[in-house]
Amino acid sequence: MTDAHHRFEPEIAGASPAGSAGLLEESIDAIERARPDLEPASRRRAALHRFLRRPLAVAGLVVLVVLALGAVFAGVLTPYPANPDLTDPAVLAEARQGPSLDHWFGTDTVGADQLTRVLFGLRVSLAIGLGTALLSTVVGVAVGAIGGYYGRWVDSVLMRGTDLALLLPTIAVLLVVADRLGGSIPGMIVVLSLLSWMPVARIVRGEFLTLREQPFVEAARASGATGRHIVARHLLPNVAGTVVVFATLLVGFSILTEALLSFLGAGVEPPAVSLGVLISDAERTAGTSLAYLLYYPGIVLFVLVLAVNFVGDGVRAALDPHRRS
Amino acid sequence: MLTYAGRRVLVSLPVLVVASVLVFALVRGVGPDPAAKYRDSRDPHAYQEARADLGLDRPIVVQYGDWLGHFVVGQWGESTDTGRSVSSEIGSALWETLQLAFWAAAVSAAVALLIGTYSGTRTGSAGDHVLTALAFAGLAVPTFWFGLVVIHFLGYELQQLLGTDQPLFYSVPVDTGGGPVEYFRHLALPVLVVSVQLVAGWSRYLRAAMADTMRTDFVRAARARGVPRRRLVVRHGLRNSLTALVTTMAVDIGALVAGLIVTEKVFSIRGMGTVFLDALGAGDTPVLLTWLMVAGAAVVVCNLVADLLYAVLDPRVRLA
Amino acid sequence: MSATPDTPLLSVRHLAVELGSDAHRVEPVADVSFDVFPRDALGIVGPSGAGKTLTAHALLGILPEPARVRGEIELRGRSLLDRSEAELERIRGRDLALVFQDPSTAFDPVATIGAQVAEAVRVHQDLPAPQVDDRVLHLLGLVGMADPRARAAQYPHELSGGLRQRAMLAVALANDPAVLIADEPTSNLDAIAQAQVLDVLARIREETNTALVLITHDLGVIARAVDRVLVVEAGRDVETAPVDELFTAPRHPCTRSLLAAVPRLDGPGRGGAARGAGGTPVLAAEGLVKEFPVRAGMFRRVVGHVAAVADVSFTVRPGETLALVGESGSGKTTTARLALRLLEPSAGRVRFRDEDLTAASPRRLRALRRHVQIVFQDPAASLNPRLSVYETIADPLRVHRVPRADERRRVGDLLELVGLRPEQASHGPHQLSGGERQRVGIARALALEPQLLVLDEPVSALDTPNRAAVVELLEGLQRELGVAYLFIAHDLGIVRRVADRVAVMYLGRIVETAPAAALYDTPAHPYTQALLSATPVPDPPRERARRRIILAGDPPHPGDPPSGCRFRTRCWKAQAECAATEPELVDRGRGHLVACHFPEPEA
Repeated sequence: MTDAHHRFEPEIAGASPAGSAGLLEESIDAIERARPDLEPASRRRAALHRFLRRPLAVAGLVVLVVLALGAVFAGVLTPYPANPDLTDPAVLAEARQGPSLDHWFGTDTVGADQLTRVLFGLRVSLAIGLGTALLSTVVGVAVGAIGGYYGRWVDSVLMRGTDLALLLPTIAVLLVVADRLGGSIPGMIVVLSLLSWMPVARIVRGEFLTLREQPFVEAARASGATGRHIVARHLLPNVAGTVVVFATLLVGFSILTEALLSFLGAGVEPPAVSLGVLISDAERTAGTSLAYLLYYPGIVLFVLVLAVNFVGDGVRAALDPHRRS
Repeated sequence: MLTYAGRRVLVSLPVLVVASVLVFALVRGVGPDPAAKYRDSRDPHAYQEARADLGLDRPIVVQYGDWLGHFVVGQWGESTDTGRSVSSEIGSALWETLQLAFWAAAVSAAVALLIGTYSGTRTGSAGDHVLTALAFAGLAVPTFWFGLVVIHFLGYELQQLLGTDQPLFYSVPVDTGGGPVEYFRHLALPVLVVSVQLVAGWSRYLRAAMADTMRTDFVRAARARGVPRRRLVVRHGLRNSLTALVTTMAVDIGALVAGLIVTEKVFSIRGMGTVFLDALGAGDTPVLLTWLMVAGAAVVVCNLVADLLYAVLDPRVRLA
Repeated sequence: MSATPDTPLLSVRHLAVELGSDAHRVEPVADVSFDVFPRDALGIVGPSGAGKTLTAHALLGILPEPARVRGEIELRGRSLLDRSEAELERIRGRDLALVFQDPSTAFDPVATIGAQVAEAVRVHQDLPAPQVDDRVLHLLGLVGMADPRARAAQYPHELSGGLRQRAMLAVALANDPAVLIADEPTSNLDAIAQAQVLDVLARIREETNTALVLITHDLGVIARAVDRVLVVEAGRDVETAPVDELFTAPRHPCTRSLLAAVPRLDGPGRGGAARGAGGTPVLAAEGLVKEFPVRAGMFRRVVGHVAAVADVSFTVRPGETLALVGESGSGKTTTARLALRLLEPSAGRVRFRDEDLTAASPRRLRALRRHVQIVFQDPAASLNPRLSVYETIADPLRVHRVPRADERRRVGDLLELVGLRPEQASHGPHQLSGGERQRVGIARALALEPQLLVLDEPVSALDTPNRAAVVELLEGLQRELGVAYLFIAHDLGIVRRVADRVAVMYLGRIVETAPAAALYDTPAHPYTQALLSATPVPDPPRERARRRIILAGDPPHPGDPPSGCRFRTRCWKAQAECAATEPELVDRGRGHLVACHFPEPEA
């Protein structure tokens, strides 16, 4: 899997190297958008409306809620344990059964119920995905803000540092590190955040540099505002939208990366269950009649990330109505 | 232009040097212990002797200097796992990976260009919605899983369906020695799997860029002069959107060298990714160090190419 | 059916442009009708938002998707509205040509100027390459470019605004169109560049058969460049008349208000008692210099310096307005920022009253900042998009920790002072018009009760009616509050009403300073004379009769100023002495200073 971070940047930060849309376009857009019958006064409500008007985003949110509920109540929803007692002959008797009413997702070679394992795996995925996004965002914003506002050598050091670190292939680095530090959920969050905070920092820093030159920031300086005031009141609120959108993308990316690491055996360790581990366990079933063991964890993972991405796209559209896509 | 190029090249050199420090620190600091094999040996002194043999008792800075000194002249040592020279291990692996990367990049670029242009010039149409949904799906799908599913369906199930004795597309490299058709059958599935992600990302990027570009004043001004639609899209729209896209592509391709770990594992291709996994598992430090340097160098070279391409395509950068 | 002088070339009847859906329909163009005759010169004038640009785009059929067009548009007797896209592609650029409003965005950034002009030719004419090249050079020469071959090889970003605008004209003329529509061709340009473009338009009228339709909000431009005028308001045409008649006997209230808003060079100045004659100046700049390093070569070594501001000194007395006027590149914007110490000077000092602003400690500087504030040129960019009007105006008060109750009262007072309604306090910038945004900027600047306001081209981005309104507001505020102004502008027309004294800048230096009346009546420096000549007067007969001084080309690059007098390369009086020594500012008496070896003799 390749580095997908910057791939999302253009849709967030603006792809066009050719400059913004023409004056005419913008005035027409403005006219089209000014619909007094629909536009509520509050900014936040307007954003919410924009989100709700996108069917995919809403669908994604619904799916996400369902999956989250499934993950939270994983132990309660099914009568089976995630890691059954392998010495119990009753368990073994259930092994290798395809999907049925008793076992919606079937059972694996040792008799564990797949639905249960998938739900627990979902829990791990969500926890790590959200945790990584949060940690990376906090660290990235802090670093990017410092570099972007104070500029000069602080910025240079920061940027050279992140450039260099980004040189090294993500997965490889993560594998090396995860070997040592990984294994637990918090451990995985830290490991994944190690590299994820950097794109956030770059984006924040880039936006700060642009914003710094804007007249309204100069006006604040002219009023005698301190650096802290300018960063807090004028700069951060203007990057919030971009950061939030990137953070949602980061959730999806982290989920996939964790699954990948677990697939390779460097992720969470038993008794924790990860969707990646489930897929890894099912690797050899491709080409056999047990292939159903392969489908379900993968489909759930796919649907989860898809839902997260749709929600992220909806958030982007809600916060930045000027983008056409 | 030449000074710009020269400057970029010169800047890359110290980058590589610092990268080497990072690599060394990473592998020796967090990575496996090079003498791990001897830790559980029956002879209590074997471990200490192994450490002395490998020079592990010297100060770390000296070890770094020693390694770097050998590295830059091409002495990359031998694999502690297989015993073969690191250069031949990595060399043959690199060749495998480069082939996969090349074909995946070529196919993806062509497809992404078509999809991105179509979507970008017809935003909001039914076709655009379908393509957008597909792109989202492509970005969400876990490659390793997709690879397995593809093997199952286009290998096994398809074979059952067609009733042939050989699968139509191989899921493992089969050295049948002959011709382009065999080559294609061997690479088709891995290229497909890698391409899905690349196409999804690149086509979205191009779509966003094209949508923006086609709405600019200068495109409208060209239209006002009577420039026909096709030329508008290609000469003005694409030409301006490509600048940023091409650099993204270059960077992504650079990352492919190291980024195919999972695909290679799933398809049992003996490329860079597999070598890395084996080396990591076996604590094969010489291979790991060289591998990371090669991967880093690939990224640096591709970033350089990206920067140069950007300057070629955008005169504003060149003449700044 | 070809057009004779009596039958119109282009005929527009009840044109309407519709946007929005059934639930919410808007008609930015509701009912516009006019004719264009061969070799005509028609001006379409109106406040911004009147739908003029949409009309122009509708004529060419290039409106974006959501827009729908109604009415009739006939070219040479045949309707344009029922043609196929392929047919329209043949007409665009060949029979009808449109010059866009903003030259900085209307060119493809990755193609040379020459290539884009050539493209315009090749789309409609099948000529061999050398002939295309010849045509390109001919066109670039036609629009007044000094070195067409060099220009053709340059990229759009390498050209100044004025040159880009003229290049656009060259593109439009590529195929000898019957009608050339120029959309606000001078709105983004400063005075000299504007005069150059208008000169080119005049030449085009003389030397080609092209009919001209000139869209603008500036009646001064109308007075100079057209024969007939159509006035448009809110999407409807409200008056049409020959140009002389429009100015002397306007009928519609919209026309009258547009006329009233035009700043007149010959209009009333500030008059009244000389302000702030005694006492310490509010602001005194002494020998200000600002240099920017130039980096070149592989290692980005600093190879030299560009002096954007090279030895500028001036004083602003309490309660008076000092206007600082110059073209783009003159250093006036940099000077504005130096005056506030938003930029650190490379040399020189700025004093606020008795204190040295440039040497102040960060803490003292912050306290001093209350007294000197700034209003910016771009109303949109000068407001934080995430803050409401209230929060923007209150920001300086928050910075200085004014208690909340006082803050509320002060913001309320300020809103009233600048003519905004109390309910607008909760609005965001996107809900305000350009003029209203500028008022917010002014309110913010006044929040801390400064003694001096630096106004950096505060009305240049607004259309004429708004411009007049804001200038009037500023005038009133000065009378009421006694605040001094350092008013930066690019054209002498704008400052006529507000300036007590004027300083003219050229290439980083002040070349003339004088009390306003003296400057306008008896300008001494040739550059001042050229600026005055370039500013149109809204009186067509007088405009036509005026002796015009057209400066050739662009100002030299600040990094490579001419030896001796910097203005000599464009000066018609230049002699050997001018190349040898740089003239110093010499006091002629009564506060009139000139830096010239051959100033106009005193009256």
